[in-house]
Amino acid sequence: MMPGMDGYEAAKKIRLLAKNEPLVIIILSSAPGLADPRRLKKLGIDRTLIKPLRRATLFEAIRHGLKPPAPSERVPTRPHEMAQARGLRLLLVEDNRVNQKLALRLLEKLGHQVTLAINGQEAIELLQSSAFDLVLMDIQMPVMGGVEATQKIRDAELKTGVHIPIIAMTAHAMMGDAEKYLSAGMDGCVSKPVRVGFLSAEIDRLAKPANAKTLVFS
Amino acid sequence: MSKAIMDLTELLERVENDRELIRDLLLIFKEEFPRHLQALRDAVDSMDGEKVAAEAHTMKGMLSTLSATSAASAAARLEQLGRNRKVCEFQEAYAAFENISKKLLLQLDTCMAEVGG
Repeated sequence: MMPGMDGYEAAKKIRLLAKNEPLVIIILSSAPGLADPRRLKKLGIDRTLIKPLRRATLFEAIRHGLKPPAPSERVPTRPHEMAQARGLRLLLVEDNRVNQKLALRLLEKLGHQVTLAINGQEAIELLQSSAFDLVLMDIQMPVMGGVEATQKIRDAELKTGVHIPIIAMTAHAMMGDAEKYLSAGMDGCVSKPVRVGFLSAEIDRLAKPANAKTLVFS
Repeated sequence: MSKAIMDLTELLERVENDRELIRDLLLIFKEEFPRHLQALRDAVDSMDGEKVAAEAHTMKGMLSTLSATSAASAAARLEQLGRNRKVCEFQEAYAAFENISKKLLLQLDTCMAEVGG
């Protein structure tokens, strides 16, 4: 947000003025949940970075924007590297800013493209407008929690036959809870605070990038 | 340094030594904490079990991410009391949480310096 003209309006005007230029626009935001991907796409914004900003993240975003990274010729061996080679489209559903930052950073380090939703309702809306390979779902959130959102997603999938993997991220590291999440339609579970190794292994186990589709509600 | 409320070694290990990430997490926590503490205080004062549980849950999430185990446990206790509507114990549990949180806040700048912030 800026006085006079905000970043989105500025991006729109820049796109109009430089119609034929191969320009990369990156938005810096401290309120990631407010960024609607459909709006970003329409305005020609390539990427949103969340403040506070890391030098390395900014550098990587600029480097990525200017030149697509060359595919590695080396065969990945470690699970982290395998995930990195896959570069999945992930939907992270998390309301807590500290946990958002941690998960975003770890997932980006693994080479994934991450979109953030701040509650279950927002996640459902994003799933209807964009394709994702996998969802990482917090359980307790305002507006709509993870269990309710998962049930709605699974109900909608009955019409399409699509099944997007959903991993519960939960602080309730109890077996009874894990069973509850699985019976609500979740496919896996990682306990919080998340550790990169467990997170990566669970994503690798469940993600099937070729199946990415948008959610259809009718 | 006084007795560590935040286990920086464990946190560093968990984020694979990403010091810049820790600094970011601490900055966000510092920014978010007063608002959430006030909300928790209000929920406790109004004896609203559901709100106490929700706010304490948020606190617990942030604190366990920062490896502040004892503060996270104090928040977890409040969350449980909130869920069970044990309103008579709210004030005492809140006071314990506030006490440990204040110690954590005092430690934050030292941690920030240690990770090079």
